Amino acid sequence: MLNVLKIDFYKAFRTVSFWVISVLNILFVVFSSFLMFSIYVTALNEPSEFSDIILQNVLPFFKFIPRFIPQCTFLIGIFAVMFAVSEFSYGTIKNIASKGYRREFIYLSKFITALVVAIVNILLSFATSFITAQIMINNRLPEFFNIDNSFWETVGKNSLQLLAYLSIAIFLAMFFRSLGSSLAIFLAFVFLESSAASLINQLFKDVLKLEFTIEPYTIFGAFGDSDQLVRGVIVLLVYIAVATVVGIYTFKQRDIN
Amino acid sequence: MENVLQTVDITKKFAKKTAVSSVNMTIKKGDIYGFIGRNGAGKTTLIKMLVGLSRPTSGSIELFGSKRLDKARHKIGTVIEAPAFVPNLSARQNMLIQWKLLGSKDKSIIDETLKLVGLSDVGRKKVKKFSLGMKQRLGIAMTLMGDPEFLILDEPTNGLDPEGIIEVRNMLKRINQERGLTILISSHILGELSKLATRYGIINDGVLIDEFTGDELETRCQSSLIVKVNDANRAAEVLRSALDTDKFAVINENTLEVYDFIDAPGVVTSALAKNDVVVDLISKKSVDLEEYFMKVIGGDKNA
Repeated sequence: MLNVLKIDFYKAFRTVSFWVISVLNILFVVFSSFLMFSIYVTALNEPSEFSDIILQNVLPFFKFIPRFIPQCTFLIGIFAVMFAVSEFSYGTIKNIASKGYRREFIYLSKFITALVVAIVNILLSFATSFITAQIMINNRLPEFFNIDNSFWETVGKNSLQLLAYLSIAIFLAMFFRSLGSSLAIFLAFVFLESSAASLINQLFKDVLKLEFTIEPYTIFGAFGDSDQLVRGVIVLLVYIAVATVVGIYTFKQRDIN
Repeated sequence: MENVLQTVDITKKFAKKTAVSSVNMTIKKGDIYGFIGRNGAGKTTLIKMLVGLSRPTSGSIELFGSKRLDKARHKIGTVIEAPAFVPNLSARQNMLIQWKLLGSKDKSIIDETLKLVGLSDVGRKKVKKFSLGMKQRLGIAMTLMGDPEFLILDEPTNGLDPEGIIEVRNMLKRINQERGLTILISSHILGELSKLATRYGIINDGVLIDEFTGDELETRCQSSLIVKVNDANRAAEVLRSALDTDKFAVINENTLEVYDFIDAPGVVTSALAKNDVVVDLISKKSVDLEEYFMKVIGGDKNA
């Protein structure tokens, strides 16, 4: 397993897609951070009625940055799909499978590699935003850089959601083995999940006359209710487990062409 | 001699088609096994099952006398259909991936193997810019990494120029002789295969219809003498009476095909001349692997 993981890391950090998504991610973070911090800088530089209101409602840095995790999900998901599918399109999956490595290791290695790339990108986002904040705000806002109690909880929740999306991305890539269909389905899933949930809710209400909402059982809405933290964690773990187990099973059963 | 590969009734069925049917194949240590079959005969399907890319519907495979295939497959080097690389990386980087995959310790084998296949001077050129022949060489280099004990090569000379084909053939012969490497090689170039293989297997419509050694092939491709004379019937009488043989066939009124005295055509010429039969021409005719293959599969379709 370790050998497969080593070569996946080696390949992942040398793919064009890794550098493209990392650069896009950094640009996106710089842009978002700049927009956000500009408001504070303007309020600090040009005192006014509005600036007082703004400065009273400053979103501390460590409450702000966990927002980058869900925002970079789709970029990391695209990378995961492209990376896993490339093994099939280049045929290099044959080199690994024919060396006797177990299929579950090959599958898990893709998942772990995508996860590591996700962690690298999250850290890059945090670092980029931190540098931007240091340049723009520095020490001008008291307690701006104090770590908030909810920081780790928010990071944990968002990371778990990202992990669930990644498990879906890897499953799709290893199942469809073609970039077009895997990517199209993944993006549709990410962007249409909430609309689909609303539609299902409507169906429950209109057809079955049930006041049931499916949102808490979706990835995006798992932590919608802050009182139901455990349920949210369980829902996401179920997504990850089901996608991975079904993915490994189908990958093991099917031939590699 | 120790078996490197043994399949027992290995079968692969797809929805409507049986691609490989109850194949019992044995490859012994040191063999260069020429695997012959038409397009779609089942060669690649069988090879894929051997290396673990495809699951047999039934039957069993033993590699190096063991049914623990995952471990045994670590000792196999394979190129199936076409060599596979990461196109944006150089030859050396692709070799490095294979090296990591094998978990080898000695990194110098990368450069040694690249040198062996004549790719030591390609520098940082990306593989996607390689010619077909260079890719083929790199594919073979990747299979040779980590001292495999068994090579499985599906059309290894595809895309190579004549010089490249000779180089690959000589290289495979050398490593077979020096390292005792066992090789399973499928190729459409039967003439080329016959210069390399020591054993053969012919597969047709998923069935392994024949397995034979190089010596057996020689016997099966028995040569004959084509004798052109002024009177074939008179010559036939002479062959019967003077040389006491009936291993011949009268082709037409002036031509005979003699299956005896192949290595002593002078005996035939002399006997005919002594009995007033004028011999205009005597030549040796032999069947090669290609003709034998066509005869066995009973058709004139492409191999």
